[in-house]
Amino acid sequence: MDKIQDILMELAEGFGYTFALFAVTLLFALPLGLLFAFASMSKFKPLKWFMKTLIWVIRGTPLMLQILFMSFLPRYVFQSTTKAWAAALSISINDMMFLFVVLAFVLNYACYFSEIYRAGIEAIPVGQYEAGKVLGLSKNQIFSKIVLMQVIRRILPPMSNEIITLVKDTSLAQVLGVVDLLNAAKHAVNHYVILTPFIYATIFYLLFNGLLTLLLGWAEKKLSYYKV
Amino acid sequence: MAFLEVKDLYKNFGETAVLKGVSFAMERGEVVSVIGSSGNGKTTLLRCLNLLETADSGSISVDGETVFPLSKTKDKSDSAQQRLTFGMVFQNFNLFPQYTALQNVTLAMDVQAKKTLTSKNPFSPERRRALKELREKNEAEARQLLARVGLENKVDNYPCELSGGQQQRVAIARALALSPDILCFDEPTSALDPELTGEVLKVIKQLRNEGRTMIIVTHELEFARNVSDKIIFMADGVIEETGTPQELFDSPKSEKTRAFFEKLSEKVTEDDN
Repeated sequence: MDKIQDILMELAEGFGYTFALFAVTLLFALPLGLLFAFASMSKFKPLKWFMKTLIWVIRGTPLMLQILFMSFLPRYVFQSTTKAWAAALSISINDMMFLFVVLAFVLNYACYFSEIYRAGIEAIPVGQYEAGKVLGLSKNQIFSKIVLMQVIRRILPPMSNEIITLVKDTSLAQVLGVVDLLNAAKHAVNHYVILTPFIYATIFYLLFNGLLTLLLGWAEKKLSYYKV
Repeated sequence: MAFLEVKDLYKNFGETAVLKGVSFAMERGEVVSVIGSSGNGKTTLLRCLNLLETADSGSISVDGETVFPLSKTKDKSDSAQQRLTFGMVFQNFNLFPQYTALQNVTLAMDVQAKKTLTSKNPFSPERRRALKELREKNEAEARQLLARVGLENKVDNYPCELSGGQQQRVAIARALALSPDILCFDEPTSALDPELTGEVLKVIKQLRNEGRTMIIVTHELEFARNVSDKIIFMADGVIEETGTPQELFDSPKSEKTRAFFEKLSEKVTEDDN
């Protein structure tokens, strides 16, 4: 009985990292993605092409590779060490690794989100902007008061998809030794030589994604009080 | 000097010349209808007036003040303010779908009201109180406007819950909310089912009786004839002929005007067959 409790404790701890990675990625990638979307639609060509190239590279390579690349940054790009960076930030090496994972995730998801934002923004009829203009609204007011709500409504279904994918992608954090939910389960499987931790992990993932699905579905319903 | 003076407006889209020197004038309280076949620059003319398009050359002045070209020294916010000289009602209504009829009308009013506030600190209680008062005033005004276009029972409905005719009437109320000097209509009934055009035209007629200055681009010739003080017939990017409805409809001088009417009457007989 104690064994099950131990395993569940370990998994809960792992889920802590999974959840933290999930939440922090969303927190930063959602606004950053919008910035990226603006950049990729910019009239200033160099910025536009820089953004398009970045999105191509990020979407065209595995997320796991990007995570590994982040961890090589100190040594190969800055001729320093992970240890020195961790010391500079006065955090542990493990936390430094977690930070690399977070950086890779934020960048990766911001790029995916930016394409969803872009599709949403480009789908808004030009008449909406014109109606705002003739009513004397500034560009920013048109975006914040007229366009943004319509964009959010349009992109919620594809965003939900990405968000649920993100939950599962968090398991890639283990390439830098982060003990996320799946990694914790793996350890438990090896340590106790039983398969049940995988089943527990499965239940954790399913419950979390089930909750998210309900939440996102509720938001979608809330926003569909009007037709576009 | 006339209330609105448009002089020598030119506009090209790439290689295509759409406006080739358009000049006209109108007085306060006048209703001018612009007619002509599609693709002859009617809509572009209207869009140049309210600066949705920037004319390549020419000038526009209202009440003695130059609206276009904008002087270089003025900053950008002026172009947003200049637009308010002209109200605009679009062919496709362009209502904001996420807002109710009432919110569609008050949105721009509230934005304008905010500019009049003296205190800029968003947390100051005086500012918030003043803002609340202004909002309440705007809402009352918006309700009145919606009642004037016959929609007092639809204030809390979303555009998707309204018929095309009702949506266009909300759009008219929205344009009126900023009390523009000149109200422009870009084919206001073209996107409507025939049985719904009547209610919109009725509102426009009512505005005419209130003495509103209006420019109406329309294909409803019968309506144009009844409601306008002056008709402008556009062909090939220029004003081909202008005059009172009687002059233009009963004794058109230009060959092109006559051809336009003839083609229309042919179409009517065809439709009858």
